[in-house]
Amino acid sequence: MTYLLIDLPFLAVAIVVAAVAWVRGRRASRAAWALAAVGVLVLTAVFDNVLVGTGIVGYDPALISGVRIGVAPIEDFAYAVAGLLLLPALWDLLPARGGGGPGEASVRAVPGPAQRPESTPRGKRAAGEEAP
Amino acid sequence: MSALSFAYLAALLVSLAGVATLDLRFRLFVGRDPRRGIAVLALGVAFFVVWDLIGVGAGIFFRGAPELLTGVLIAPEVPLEELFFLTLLCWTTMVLVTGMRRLLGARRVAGASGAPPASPDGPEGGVS
Repeated sequence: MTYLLIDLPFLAVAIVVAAVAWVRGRRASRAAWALAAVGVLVLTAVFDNVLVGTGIVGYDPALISGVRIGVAPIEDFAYAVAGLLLLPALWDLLPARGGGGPGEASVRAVPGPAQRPESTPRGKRAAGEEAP
Repeated sequence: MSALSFAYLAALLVSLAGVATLDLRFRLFVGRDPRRGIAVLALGVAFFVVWDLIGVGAGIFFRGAPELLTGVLIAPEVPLEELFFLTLLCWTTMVLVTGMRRLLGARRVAGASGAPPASPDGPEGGVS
């Protein structure tokens, strides 16, 4: 099983979740995503080269393609790409607190009062503080 | 265990502190909606930990440079530091995405005063 083959199902999951967020009506700016993607990929290249260069992570040369950005195997960039697809989609799909709807471009109104009841202990801030 | 054992963990914590500062200062992600932000981070880290475990299980990657690591493992070949690394990857990604949305959204509002409402994709929709 090569690194590339292991990347594929995870990329597929990320693509599916991103597609669901897209179909569910989120039309977040693609330019914002593209700019963020450039940033994440550049930072990944820098950070991963440090990780591989210092030897903090090593690879079985028989299981990677051998294509590298600097010393970083190209397969490592699948993590960054999957994160760029999966994480904004989760953020847009999960209900926003406070009734503002998900994400920066709200498409769903959360019914009821402005503050939904906090059901988990994670919401540490006062809800009134939230004023996006 | 020397002070160098904390080199990688310290670098990750400093990086996380910077990202968290930007997030909270500009209320982008966790600073905007803590419960939703933490849920996204938790789901993202869980997703990547599974990926790591499968990669380690297949013998593709493994840890090295023990002098730079604390030596604490959360699974075979998966150092404690990996949790912080994956959190940093997820958090950085989301601060950049929400930050860019904020920047371009502000520009669009500033440029659209008096103009008809922007299309759902906005004026920059055709870029990507």
